[in-house]
Amino acid sequence: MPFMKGRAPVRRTLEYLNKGKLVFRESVKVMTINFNTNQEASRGAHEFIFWHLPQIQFKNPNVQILSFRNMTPSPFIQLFFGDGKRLLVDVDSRSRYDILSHIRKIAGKPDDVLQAEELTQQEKLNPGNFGSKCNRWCICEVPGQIPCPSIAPLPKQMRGKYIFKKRPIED
Amino acid sequence: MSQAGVAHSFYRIGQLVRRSSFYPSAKIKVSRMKLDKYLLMYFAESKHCWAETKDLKCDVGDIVLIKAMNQETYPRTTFEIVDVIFKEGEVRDPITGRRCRSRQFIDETKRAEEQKKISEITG
Repeated sequence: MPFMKGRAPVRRTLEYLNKGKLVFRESVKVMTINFNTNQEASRGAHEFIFWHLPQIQFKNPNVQILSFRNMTPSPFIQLFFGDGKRLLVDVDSRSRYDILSHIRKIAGKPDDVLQAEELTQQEKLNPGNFGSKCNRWCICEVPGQIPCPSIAPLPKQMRGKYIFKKRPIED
Repeated sequence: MSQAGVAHSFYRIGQLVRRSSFYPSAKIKVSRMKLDKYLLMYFAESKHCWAETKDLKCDVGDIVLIKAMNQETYPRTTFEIVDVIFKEGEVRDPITGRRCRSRQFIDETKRAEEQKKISEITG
């Protein structure tokens, strides 16, 4: 992997970022994580930031995520919602898996909602389109349409060099 | 979390950078994480905005919660400070509600005794 330097560079792959499971509800605006360095009780919170923060920010680009270090004795996560409400989650001596599943349960979109959203996104991709990002590159691939001019030249009355330059069509 | 039909506002958290000497507003530094698309890493990027300080006693260095307003009350002031999350020098642990200094709780009784001694010395 080129440029994959640093600690756990798998975190910096698109595949890893896309695999983030925590998608916040629309009401969540800000998430703050307070943790302490070199503290056993904060280890889960620190690992949560190390492994899951890029995933969460990737899946939730409009949510502001902040981390504060060594401000209070105990680690915690605060969530701020659009209706003015706040949620305080105590993460003292909890593992990163525990923290992630807890936040997903209280403020994340449930799995069935995420699946439904993915389906509606796929339906939006029009099967009638053609181009670089579609199933068909050009309309000449469709049976019943004019064949590709690179294989079968167009009749002279359809070609611009005869129409616009008014060249004689019959040789 | 919220009832259906409740209007959702735009909230951000930032640090108070300076106060306006003319209007009751303050400049807030808001940090966001921005993805570097080549390294696929997040780096902090800060933006400044002006927020109206209501009746809150907030000073330079406080971490505040700001909310977007519908109209500008003062020139370029598009936000309002809703609450002070961490006050500079008076950080309170939200779980216990006690004052703390970095990673230690402040012993209120000892602090009161020291304050009393100081006031006795200074007169």
